Amino acid sequence: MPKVSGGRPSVVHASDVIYANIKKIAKKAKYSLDGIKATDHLGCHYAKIFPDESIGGGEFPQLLAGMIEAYGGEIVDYPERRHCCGMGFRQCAFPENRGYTAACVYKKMKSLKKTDPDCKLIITNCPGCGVFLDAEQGTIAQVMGEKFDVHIVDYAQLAGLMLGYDPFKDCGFNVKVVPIEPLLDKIGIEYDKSKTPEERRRPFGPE
Amino acid sequence: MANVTIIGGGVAGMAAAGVLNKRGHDVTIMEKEMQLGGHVGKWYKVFPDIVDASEIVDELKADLNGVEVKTGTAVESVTKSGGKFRVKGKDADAVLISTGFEPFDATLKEEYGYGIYDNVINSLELDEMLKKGELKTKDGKTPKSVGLVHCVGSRDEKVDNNYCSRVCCTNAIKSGIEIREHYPGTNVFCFYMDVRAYGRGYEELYRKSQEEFGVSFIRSRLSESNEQADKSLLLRVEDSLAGKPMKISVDLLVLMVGMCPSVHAGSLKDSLGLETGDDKFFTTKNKHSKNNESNVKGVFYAGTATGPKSIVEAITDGRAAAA
Repeated sequence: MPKVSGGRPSVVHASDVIYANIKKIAKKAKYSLDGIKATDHLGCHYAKIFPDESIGGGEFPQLLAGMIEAYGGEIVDYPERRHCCGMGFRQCAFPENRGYTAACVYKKMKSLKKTDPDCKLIITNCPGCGVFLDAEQGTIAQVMGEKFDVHIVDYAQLAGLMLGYDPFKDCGFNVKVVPIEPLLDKIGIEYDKSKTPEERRRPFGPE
Repeated sequence: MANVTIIGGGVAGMAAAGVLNKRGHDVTIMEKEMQLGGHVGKWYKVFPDIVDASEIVDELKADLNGVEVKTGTAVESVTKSGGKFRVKGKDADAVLISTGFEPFDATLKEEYGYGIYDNVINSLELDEMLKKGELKTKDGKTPKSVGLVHCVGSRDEKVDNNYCSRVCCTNAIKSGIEIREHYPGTNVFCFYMDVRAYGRGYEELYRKSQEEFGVSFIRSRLSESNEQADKSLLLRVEDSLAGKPMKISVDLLVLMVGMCPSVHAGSLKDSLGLETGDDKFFTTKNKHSKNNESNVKGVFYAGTATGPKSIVEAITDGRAAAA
């Protein structure tokens, strides 16, 4: 964990807390990523801005890779691993620049597919990356007709899945563009197959 | 006639020993490795005339008749009493420190992928490959393209080495020529900050490498390298002339590592109370007129112990120290 040093306040990211407890969580986990290939995408405000405070440094941060390994998954390294997710407010906040966002995601997805077509899982620790890496795959599918179907999963969602929480009711996979069911099948997580995908995703508000 | 102990039997130490020996001094060389010659003794061909490095070592060795050579002797400390020194149980009137350098540890530049990716090697490993006549990628193929990255661990504030290591540029030029000469189907790209080919014949070699051997020089800085599915490397560089980022793939990436002070220099410094500069190399009494003298009377320096030098400079420096 980052240390308090030189009179600076100790600031940790929520994912640091999960990482610090990853062995305990993995021990309690109901499922594992055994035989599943996965890679990471670190938010730029984590390792790129604070390389000295981040776990594993700026170039090969171990935070998310360490979580994947703790759950028994296999890490895939690909050339565009550190490429931007494309969010960046200058791109995503202006409709005329949105093409750039999609282009970033397209570049990453193509690179990942070329390196290892079996790797269909990216773990993130930033809400921006989590939304855009997922949503822009939908844009790419519409515009280019090319489907990558790579699941973008937040570290907390991943912990939830592994511990056996409900993917739709608890983990928020009802709002993903890329359907999560193939990943659930691969891991062996049960869900109500009698319902249609839409029924499964019905918003879980108060009764 | 004086008893002189030379710590480090590389080219500088040997050159100094040769001169001192001729002048009738009682000379002992202590070398940590099992043979004399230091780094140069292990190398293949050296610039600017591309001769065998072993020829240089053999020539220096020829002057060592009557010099006591203790190989396999690493000197960690020297004791001083009065004007005399004691080195590994041997008395000496004067000590010459020619401890040389260590190559920069390229794993510290982890964004380049040394020690992480299969086909990222350093300049010493390239030299070994060329010596064996086996320029090959990890899976045994002759690379179609080789990238040579200049200034790895030199002129780099991030690793706290602000100095230029002086020899890497010309070494890259020479290596480029060798690769193109023996493997004409292999393209060579040099990623350089500036080409500092300062010595006699170096600039000519730089020109020759481009005109006769077709080595490509790209003024750029490497930002990171990534391994691709076929184990080749995708390089992200900034072309600093065009001011634009670019990508290029190479089959083999060679990091031209710079020089760092020898690991034993630190303990010698402490035992004798010697001074080092910000660059961690030994500080000489005067940079112009007393460039071989230390702050301790009777202790002298030669070679790359006082900063990066080419072979000819190290030999000249060794002889100057003896004089």
